[in-house]
Amino acid sequence: MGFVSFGFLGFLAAAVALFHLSPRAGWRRGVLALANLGFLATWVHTPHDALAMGGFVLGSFGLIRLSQRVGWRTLLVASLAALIGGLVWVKRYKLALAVLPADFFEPRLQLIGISYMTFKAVHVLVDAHQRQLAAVSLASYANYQLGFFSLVAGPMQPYPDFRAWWDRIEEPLASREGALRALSRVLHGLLQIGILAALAHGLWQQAIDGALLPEPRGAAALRLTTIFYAYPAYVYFNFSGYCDVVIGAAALLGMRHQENFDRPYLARNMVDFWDRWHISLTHFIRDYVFMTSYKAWAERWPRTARQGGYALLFGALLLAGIWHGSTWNFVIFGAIHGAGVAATRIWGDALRSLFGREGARRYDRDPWIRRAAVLATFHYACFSFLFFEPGFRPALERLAAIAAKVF
Amino acid sequence: MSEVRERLQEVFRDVFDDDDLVLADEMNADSIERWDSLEHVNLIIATEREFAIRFATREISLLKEADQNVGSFIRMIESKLGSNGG
Repeated sequence: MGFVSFGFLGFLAAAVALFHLSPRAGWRRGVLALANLGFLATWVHTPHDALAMGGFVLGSFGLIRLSQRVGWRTLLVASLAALIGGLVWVKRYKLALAVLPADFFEPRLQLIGISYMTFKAVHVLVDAHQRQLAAVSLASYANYQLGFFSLVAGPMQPYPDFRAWWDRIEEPLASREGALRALSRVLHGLLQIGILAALAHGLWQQAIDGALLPEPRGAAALRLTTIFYAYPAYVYFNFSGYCDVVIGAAALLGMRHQENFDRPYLARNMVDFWDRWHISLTHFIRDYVFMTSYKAWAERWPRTARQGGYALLFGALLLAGIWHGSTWNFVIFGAIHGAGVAATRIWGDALRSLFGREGARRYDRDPWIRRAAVLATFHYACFSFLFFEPGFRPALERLAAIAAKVF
Repeated sequence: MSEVRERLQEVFRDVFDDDDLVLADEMNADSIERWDSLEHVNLIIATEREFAIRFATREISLLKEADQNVGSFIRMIESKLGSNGG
């Protein structure tokens, strides 16, 4: 069931109505669990997929509980390897075939939301292992993983936030204003997806449709420009609109989700971009990938900590790129972002080293430098989205054909 | 100034290479220049060494959140020192 559909709106209205009509917390939890299962059923098409989904939730829950109880580091490492290996298998990563047999990914499973579910499981597993969570219950964990708001494409809510809401689950929506705000957020998201994202996608589709046909240089330049700007616009409007729907729908049940976007195309540099784009993913990558690995590096090899930090920044964003999809173009997308983030940090360090703290401060505050940096960052991000579209070879062939006509 | 605050201030001065830095409870990553993810980890490592404590991943992450500040940092250190019997 897609988010921009009358079916979803009807489903949401029914779930919210039943939730509010339920007189007790236990009933509300039951309504939410049924809604989650009902929504999931529209995405799971075979008994194998249903079993695998159940197996993932129960299996990861078992590992979490065991890890929480015994606290063995070996168990944590093995569990993380199993979760990441499972993700690679289900998503059939093309790059893994360089070292694995061709039939490794058989039988095929379709598990909706597996990328998000894996990261959520890693987060709960690590925090549970480090004794940072109270006992994780199966009901709260299963509903955290399968929550219909964020099952398909996030955002990734921290488990403690979900658990706090699940445990109290009091009478939601104390005010009419709160309900109206939540509804208007849902509507805003739907309009953004239905109008702005659709418009940008239409422009992009139109531009790529005739990419291989002969045409004058000016027309080809216009086509290239349209592709360059329309696809990033589509991705932003579509995903941030979806997040508006998720945040608004969750608020109708009294659940608070963190904001996932903050005007990313106004970022000053690529570090700033990731502080504004898909914020929940950035936080996960920052906390569980970058900061964890950099801390280990800096403790073990303090003399090369700075260079290690640059390399790990690159690696963290490379991983974020690869996480988005299983084909090679997402490796390139991640490498572009990794290079951008590492370069931002290297540039900042170089400025301080060359001009001192005061000089670097003046550089940061100069309004013209800021405007130029925002413009450059925006175009760097747009360039990266040339590699975001699923289907790498056709995209590359189209771009090569248009570029040959222009240049 | 409490002993923890005084020692933490020295850690901050060392990590951010600023001998004039004076810690206040309300200071956070936005108000201290260069307090990004990389320096945050350097700060955590230096703090762990100074106070002989360890931070979990979630605690390191929490201390970087917008609603956290130097005051929360000091409270977390004091709580760890208390539970260590230190």
